[in-house]
Amino acid sequence: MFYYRPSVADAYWDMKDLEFTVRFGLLLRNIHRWAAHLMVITIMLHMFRVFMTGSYKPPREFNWVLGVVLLVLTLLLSFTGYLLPWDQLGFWAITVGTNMARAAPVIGHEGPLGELIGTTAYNDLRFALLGGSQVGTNALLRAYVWHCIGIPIVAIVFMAVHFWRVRKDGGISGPL
Amino acid sequence: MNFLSRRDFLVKLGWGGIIAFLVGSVAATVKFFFPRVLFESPARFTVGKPEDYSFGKVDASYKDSHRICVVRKEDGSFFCVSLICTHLGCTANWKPSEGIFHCACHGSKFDRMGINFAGPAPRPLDRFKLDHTPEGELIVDKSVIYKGIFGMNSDVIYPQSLLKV
Repeated sequence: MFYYRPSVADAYWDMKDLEFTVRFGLLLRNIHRWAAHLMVITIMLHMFRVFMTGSYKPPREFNWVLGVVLLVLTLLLSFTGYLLPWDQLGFWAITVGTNMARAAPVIGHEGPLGELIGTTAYNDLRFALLGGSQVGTNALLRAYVWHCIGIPIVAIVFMAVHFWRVRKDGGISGPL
Repeated sequence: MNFLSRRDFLVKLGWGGIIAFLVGSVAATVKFFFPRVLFESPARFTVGKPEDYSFGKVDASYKDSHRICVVRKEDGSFFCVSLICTHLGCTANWKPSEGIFHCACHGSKFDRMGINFAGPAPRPLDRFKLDHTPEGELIVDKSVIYKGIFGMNSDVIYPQSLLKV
């Protein structure tokens, strides 16, 4: 956030500068990148453990639900972070990912029942996510704000309650 | 008669006000995410004169700027094909050596008429309206879409997508 500017002209080169000119920038970027991948893997392993030990059963069922919400939030963090280098991989991943929103019922312009409320490419869910009808400068800025501010705030709240429930319910996955 | 007491009235008014405020705030926030002015490339743009195009050629000069190709058939008629892959919306590339449109994302292939024949694409490429201006230039209108339909030739179902000069 000190060296990166979320604009179409700057984003990719700022990412390159972070790798090659900023002191310890390459280390910082790689820690962030690998930690993000490990986070998703760790969550999968955690979910597997909780499932196999039956820890989703009462009295811990509420925490399982919170965990599923946190899983989705983590994937959304990964997804929004994907676009920020503004390279070919991220650009097309976001293009493909947000195209799925076109097919949402009612609120997507290619989905079923969209005609009922007059959904078009210029007023549907995808339009609100991208801030336009194409992946462009608005989409990059939105991904950046969601990635750095929006989703972390929501995730912190859910994590706080998640950890609090772990302690209240007698620890992670052990016998009660 | 059942009179509403002063206390009940004020309680209902208070809660009603709070709920109205919350609903209004949420609605305003949702509305906030829909921009009213866009700075995207325009839906209508000119693509040169008919003489610039040779017979039986697919022209990819406008791929980078507008994600379209202008195709001139052997009989001299034109159509404008959208390069947005009908699978998940990447840009398909025109490959002159193979004479096909190829999408790099998941390998969909379309023949020179835009008809899908390989890969995950479920239907042919869309077409856009092509017309000429009074000055004799070709003009593309991306707001008029002739949607490709599986197993159908767009030449046949959308004769209006072909421009005869």
